[in-house]
Amino acid sequence: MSFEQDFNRLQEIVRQLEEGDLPLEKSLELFQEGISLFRRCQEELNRAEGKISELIKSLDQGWETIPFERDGGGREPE
Amino acid sequence: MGETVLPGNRILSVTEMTVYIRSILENDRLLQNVWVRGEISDFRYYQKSGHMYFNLKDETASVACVMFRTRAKSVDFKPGDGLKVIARGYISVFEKYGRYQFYVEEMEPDGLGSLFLSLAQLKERLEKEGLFDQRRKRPIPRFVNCLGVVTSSDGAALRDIIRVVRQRHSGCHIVVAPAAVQGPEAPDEIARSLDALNEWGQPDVIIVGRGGGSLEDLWAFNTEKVVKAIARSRIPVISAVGHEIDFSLADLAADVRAATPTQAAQMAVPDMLAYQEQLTATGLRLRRIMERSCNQRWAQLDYLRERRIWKKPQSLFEPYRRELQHTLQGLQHHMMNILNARSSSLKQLAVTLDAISPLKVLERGYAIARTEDGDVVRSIEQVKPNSLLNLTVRNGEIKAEVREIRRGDWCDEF
Repeated sequence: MSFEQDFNRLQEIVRQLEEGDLPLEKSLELFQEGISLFRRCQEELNRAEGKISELIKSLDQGWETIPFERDGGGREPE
Repeated sequence: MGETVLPGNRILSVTEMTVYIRSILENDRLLQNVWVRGEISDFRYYQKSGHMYFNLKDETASVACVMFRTRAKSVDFKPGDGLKVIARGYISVFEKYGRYQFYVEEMEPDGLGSLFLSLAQLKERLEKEGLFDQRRKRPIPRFVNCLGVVTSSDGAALRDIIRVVRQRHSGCHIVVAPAAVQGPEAPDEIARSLDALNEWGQPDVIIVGRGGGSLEDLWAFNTEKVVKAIARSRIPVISAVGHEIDFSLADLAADVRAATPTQAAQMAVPDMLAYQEQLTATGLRLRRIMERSCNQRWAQLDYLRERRIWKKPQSLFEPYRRELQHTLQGLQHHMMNILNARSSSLKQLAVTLDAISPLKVLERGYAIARTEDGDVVRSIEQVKPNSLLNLTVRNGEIKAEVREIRRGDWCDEF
């Protein structure tokens, strides 16, 4: 599941719970799902800085990525 | 060593040399009053000073031009990039930058610029092919985890994109497919890199573009090769040809057009800070809902626990008991009615019975005569002389013998 799917599902769960009228077991189930979705989204948001790569042709004529080198590592010089 | 010695065995300062060059140019009769035909590019007009700056160019050469306010006022058409003009003026040197310039004093339009014309024709053709149709436009995914970038690997555009993406969504993977963005190789390289990202297939969205430049710098983005590569991309494309005013054909073919690479990066990746805020709020809501739901249920339980039924369980049976009693009373009442009715009819019967009792008749002096067979004698035919009769009277029986039988004269039947 992507972050977006997780995030949307989480919103949906909160909406359902807020509307109420759910049996206790069902709402506990949703609550647990919501908490684990929340944790997953949080992890995704806290994920370390993503890579910067360069796309190059691989030996088997497919494509592969290598770390992008520019001005010493592709990081923004201030 | 290392010192340049000019004719005259004198070492010149830069200024001296520049002044010397300028004097040569300004003493040339042709260059001091010349008509030039060319196409305007990189046109800039400064409101405050009223001066115009631009280049005049043809297929192979280009010259920097300036038209000062006093002269610019006399221009009676709207100069702009791509416009072909005839200009009259003189050549001199802008000493500060050591640059020769064409100081335009007069300018007239020379029909539509040929580059411009061919651009218009290409646009019309590609439009007919449907490459610019609004229906082709795809939305940019809301959440982008892998961003493809087609631009020069050492340009400001890439720096801007990386900076903005890092600010908004630090976890986003940026994949650069480098391409020259100007010069004769640019169209092929841009198209090849777009295709490569599509073949690789990982990016959620692709930014193709470059920082600002003159119209000819941006020319690659007006070529059929680039437009078609954008149009056939399966991955949504954001064009970012740093050119605020005019649309390039690449802009028209892209799913979304951004004015600058910075804006393109903003469009491509979500602002994760906003997501973070939303997520935190959502987490709070989730916990609050559960708390409230539990509290509500506790309250309900408390309420139930306080109900009278638990303190006086017997009250549960009270209505039944009452109804049972009521029914019993009814039953008793009903029974009494029946019994009363029966006993009064019994009394009635007893009276009747008493009235018709034979004992009463016997008491008045009558007797009942029976034959020996026990039949009550009602007629003289039942008895014969010398037969025996049983007579029942009030207080006993008498056995009697029949002596004589005589028909009563009160009997008229015979």
